[in-house]
Amino acid sequence: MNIRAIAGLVLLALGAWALKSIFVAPAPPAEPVVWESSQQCAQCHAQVYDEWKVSWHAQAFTDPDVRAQTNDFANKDCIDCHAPQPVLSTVLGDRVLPRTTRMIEGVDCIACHLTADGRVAGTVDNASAACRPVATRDLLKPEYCAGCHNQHGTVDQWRQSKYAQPGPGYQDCVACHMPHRDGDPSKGRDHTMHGGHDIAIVRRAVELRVARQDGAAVVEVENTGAGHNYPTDERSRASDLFWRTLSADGSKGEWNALHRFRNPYRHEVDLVNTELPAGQKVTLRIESEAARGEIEVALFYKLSPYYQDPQRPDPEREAQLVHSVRLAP
Amino acid sequence: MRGLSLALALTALAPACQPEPNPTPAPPTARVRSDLAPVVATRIAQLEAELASPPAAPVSDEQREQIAGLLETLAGADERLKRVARDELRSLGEACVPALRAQLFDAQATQSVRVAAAAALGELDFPSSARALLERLDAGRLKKDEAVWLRAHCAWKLAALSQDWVVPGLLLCLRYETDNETVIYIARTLARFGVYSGLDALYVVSREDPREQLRNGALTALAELARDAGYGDPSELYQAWKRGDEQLAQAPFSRARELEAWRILKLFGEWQLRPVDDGRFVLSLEHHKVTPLLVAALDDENRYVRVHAAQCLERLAGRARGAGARLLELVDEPQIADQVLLALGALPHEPAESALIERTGPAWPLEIRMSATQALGAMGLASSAPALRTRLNEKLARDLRAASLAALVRCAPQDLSTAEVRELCGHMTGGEVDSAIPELALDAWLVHRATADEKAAEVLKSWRAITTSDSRERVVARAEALGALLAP
Repeated sequence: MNIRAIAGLVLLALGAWALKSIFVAPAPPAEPVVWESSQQCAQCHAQVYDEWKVSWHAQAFTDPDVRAQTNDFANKDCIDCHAPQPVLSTVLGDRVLPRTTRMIEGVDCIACHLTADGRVAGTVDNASAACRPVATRDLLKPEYCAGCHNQHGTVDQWRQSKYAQPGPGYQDCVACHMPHRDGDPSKGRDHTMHGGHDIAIVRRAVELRVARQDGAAVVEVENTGAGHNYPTDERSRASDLFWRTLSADGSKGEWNALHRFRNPYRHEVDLVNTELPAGQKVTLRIESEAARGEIEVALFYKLSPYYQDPQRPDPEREAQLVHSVRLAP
Repeated sequence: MRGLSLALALTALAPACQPEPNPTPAPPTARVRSDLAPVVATRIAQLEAELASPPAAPVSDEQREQIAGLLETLAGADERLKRVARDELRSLGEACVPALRAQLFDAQATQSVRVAAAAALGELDFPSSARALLERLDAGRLKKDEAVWLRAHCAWKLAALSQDWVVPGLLLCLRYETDNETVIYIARTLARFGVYSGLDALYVVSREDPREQLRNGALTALAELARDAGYGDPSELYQAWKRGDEQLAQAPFSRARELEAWRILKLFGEWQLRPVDDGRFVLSLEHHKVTPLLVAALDDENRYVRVHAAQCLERLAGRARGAGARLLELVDEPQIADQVLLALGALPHEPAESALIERTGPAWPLEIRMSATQALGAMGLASSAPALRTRLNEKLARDLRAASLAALVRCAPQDLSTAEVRELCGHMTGGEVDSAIPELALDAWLVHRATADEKAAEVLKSWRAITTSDSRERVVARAEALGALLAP
């Protein structure tokens, strides 16, 4: 084939492309959508919606405990984080502001994904899709979560941890709390956003070790798995270490309180913050004579800090077991 | 080559020939303000310059010894000597404040010396003496207090001074105070400065404290405060304070107190919500005269300051009535319009009715329609009912529909059909809208019906007897109770 023929073919192709550009219109941009409810998102993103619907973000405004504590949100100060305006309606990383509509949806799709100009923050640009998504890398930044979750210092705790250091060990909020489905990036991120309400994730946060030293029991709790304090965020969360004696006949003694990990409420002015920072451990000794026999040491986790009878707490009934270790005499 | 030129020209032209994307219509509120300024920072700088005082003269060793001796005398039993010691301390003036303050914080000092120090500070009318008393009162919030009783003394003695700038600090102490005796004195001292926001706490102590003496103390305080303010009983005073009656609007409000309020407004720009929450609490419980400051803050360059100032005006309600005209000018401020509308309803500012009605219409963004509808409900004017009725004949988002019905209850409860009451009841239990909106509206509807209907009065009684804090359980039980009235 000679040069003229090749040039002719190239010209033909260019001309065809130009004519197509003129006469065949591209997919038109979608009409702007008025976002009134996150249910609108379910039409195209059913899986994400279903995941979110069972998440605690979806229950931020409806959870009975929260409603009781806020007097059904008559305490309006709580609305800021429990039914926030879109994160992107303020500068990223700034504090969120309260909204007045669709409160029931709590921290919903719109709160995280609606941009200031009415488009939807996503992973791709597509002006012709119904929600006109715009690729937004900021969605992955810890600052996205900080507006609410750093009110109790969780993001700052992470910044102090090894996980925030650049390099192969870097892991941010979404890495743990919104992992890729089945570990496959092509399947997108899980929107159930597991956290402190999921005992399985709580168990991965800490290790409990117990050993004998000079007859006494030495107990170690180490925050090996959380990128922030253990526990963190809501001040209602507490984790309690207990021990009890075990007898040869199978009977068990009463639980004895050994230590509590918790950030106290503002009004609990005589308590100090005992949360366990990422990567750190506490070591405690049980010197009681009774502990020289066989004992069980257990770490429990609670979403509300108080026991019905503070003098005789019943962690097995009122808390969730995280780890338990038996120690021989 | 001509073909190539044609192709390139067509290529260049191609993008220009593509259809323009549809421009997004600007919402009616998208009007950017150009009149914003650092209002808060400017006012703080001005007031700090105006109120700056020269540093106090150093206290000589001789004076220090003299003060220590006088304090010992004050702690003694001889009333005549104590009177002389008090006169002596007053004659020393502000110089003795640091020594007296030190006694307040000295855990080793005897109880009588510390009480005497608080009493002496209460007779020295200086900002420094008031600050010492306030700091000791506040210390209980910051750390475990070895002398709770001293807080009550400090709260009491603050009432003897003319330093009204302590009011914001007292309100904050009220928020965190755990000792009910101190609560009673804080409420009394607040009232001394014209602020009756401690009445709620007095009612709680009078009902709930296990000690009869304190319950009676709270009841006595309520009765005395009402009498001193010129009201027949505490509930009249309570309602007058909530309404923002003119009779209670005349208390002094010093420049120093203004400065305290501006400093709180500055905190509204903070990132952490804790000081913001405290600030909202304090300014929302302040006197009528904080209103002009909050109005000025609506022009601050910081969006958060403007939003939270508008929230405080909403919560001040009747005491912020003076803000109505300016709020009405700001109904289209892009970043705070929803809060401004809610504030207009809460005051209430009746000249805003037509603007609110307009903003319930379909041309406005949903959050504006929602706020305007709720504001109309809070205002409760019968003249708003036709407009709300018109909206209810349109297709509305679910929570806007529930809010419209709830607003109609407030404006014209007699207009609601049984079907509409049933619908509200459905909204209350359906889990699709905030149950508190229909629940409160149905309570108001029952109150209205109960005035002329014995059966409704009975239902209201059983409705209010259902008080479980689990809102899901409560609304279901209340819906059942209401069913007796709605059955065909």
